[in-house]
Amino acid sequence: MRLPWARTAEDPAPTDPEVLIHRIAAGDQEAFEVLYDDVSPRVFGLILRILRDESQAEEVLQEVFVEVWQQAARFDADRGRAVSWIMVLAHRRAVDRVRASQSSRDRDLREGIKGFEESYDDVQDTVEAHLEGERVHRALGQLSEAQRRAIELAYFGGFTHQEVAKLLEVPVGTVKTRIRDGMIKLRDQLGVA
Amino acid sequence: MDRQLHLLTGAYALNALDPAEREDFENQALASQGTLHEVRTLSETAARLAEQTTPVAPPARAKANIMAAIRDTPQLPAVGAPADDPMTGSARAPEPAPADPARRHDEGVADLDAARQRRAGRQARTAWPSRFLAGAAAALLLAAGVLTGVVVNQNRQQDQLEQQLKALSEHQEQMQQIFSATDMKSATQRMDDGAEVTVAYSATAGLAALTTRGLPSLPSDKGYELWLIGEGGATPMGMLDTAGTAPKTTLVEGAMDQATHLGITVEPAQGSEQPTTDPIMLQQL
Repeated sequence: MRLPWARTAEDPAPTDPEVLIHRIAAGDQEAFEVLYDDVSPRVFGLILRILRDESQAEEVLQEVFVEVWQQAARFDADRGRAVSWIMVLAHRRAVDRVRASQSSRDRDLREGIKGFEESYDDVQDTVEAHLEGERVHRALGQLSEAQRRAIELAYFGGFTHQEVAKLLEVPVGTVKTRIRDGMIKLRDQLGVA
Repeated sequence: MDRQLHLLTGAYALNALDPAEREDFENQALASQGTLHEVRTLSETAARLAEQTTPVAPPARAKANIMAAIRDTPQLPAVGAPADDPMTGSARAPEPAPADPARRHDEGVADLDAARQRRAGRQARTAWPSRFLAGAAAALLLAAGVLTGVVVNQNRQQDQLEQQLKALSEHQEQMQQIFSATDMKSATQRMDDGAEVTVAYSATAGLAALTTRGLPSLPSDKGYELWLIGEGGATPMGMLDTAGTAPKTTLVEGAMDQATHLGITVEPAQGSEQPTTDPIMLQQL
């Protein structure tokens, strides 16, 4: 058992996700647990927002973290932050699940957009509490309403850009451009290089 | 027909393409540094979007299940290079690599070249023919929807479907790994007969993607074999899927940090251990 006071002062913040991933890659289950405790609420929040079903979200959460365990040695710190890497995994898994599941196959797009917008309103109230979230929120505010809606439907709704076009009743080409222009603006606002 | 695939960078970064579109986009994007850069930065931007979601604590049983699951789950080894120090990203052992004691220890053998070649051979594999799978997956979805009476088969079909989706997802993950690698390089070669081969690769990710367009079709007992070539010789990386006229992308996994070239030769359909003909294409890495 590791005692907190036994750590030496020159240890780099031992709970940095990048440090933890490195230890996890060497098979350290304790590091995995620390990372899980730190990151899982954010991962679960994202998955739940996309799937809107607790039990499916739990299954996907497990897939994601088992994958983090398996793939830890392949995480490339040069490519970006560990949390981003995990979020990308989580988003992909959640979207795959939403498109594969029986219920989503039949999902009425109208219902989809309604439920999605309701859940979005809840988020607005609490997002200010989260610093990075605040930055992203402000950057989203710089987009045109049309760009923001297209991006949010695709990213948080799990809809393909074709479905987004149907939902918004605009041509696919328009959605393609709105998403791309909006994402580029967002990238520049957030200073992602 | 110009379908302006390069405009799909944003939708790709948001996972908002269906599988067929995704494949078309990947086949085309590999040939353009500009598009690749855009994909990489927009994917990072998409990950930031996740952070404006309200955190929700998962139930305690989820953690118990996950901790139990990882105890029985083997970890994948690092590919292509000894694990870097994640704090600096620059702790890779300088050349010559065989002096790296950590790596030797990990492999449990002294002959690093042999180990690497074995590993590269083991890991070489071509990507699933994803367009076929997408079609099959769609057909299965349709079948599962229409044949509501055939309950017995449904679970099996669901399993198959899930496996197919998983393979697709793995393909996509590897493609994104290449797209997002900071050391990603790509080059396109045009042959005399008009055929084109684009290679995009990342040594840190240990992955390469080859997109071929219009390679001449071969007799059924022959095939195009891919090689990773270094000072120690050529390592077979698998056969290229070149059937049909549409561009095809083959993904290969292996240690690229020691290789100097990728090459393609014409070999018997089942492949050779070593090249038996002159390469029709040689790309310096």
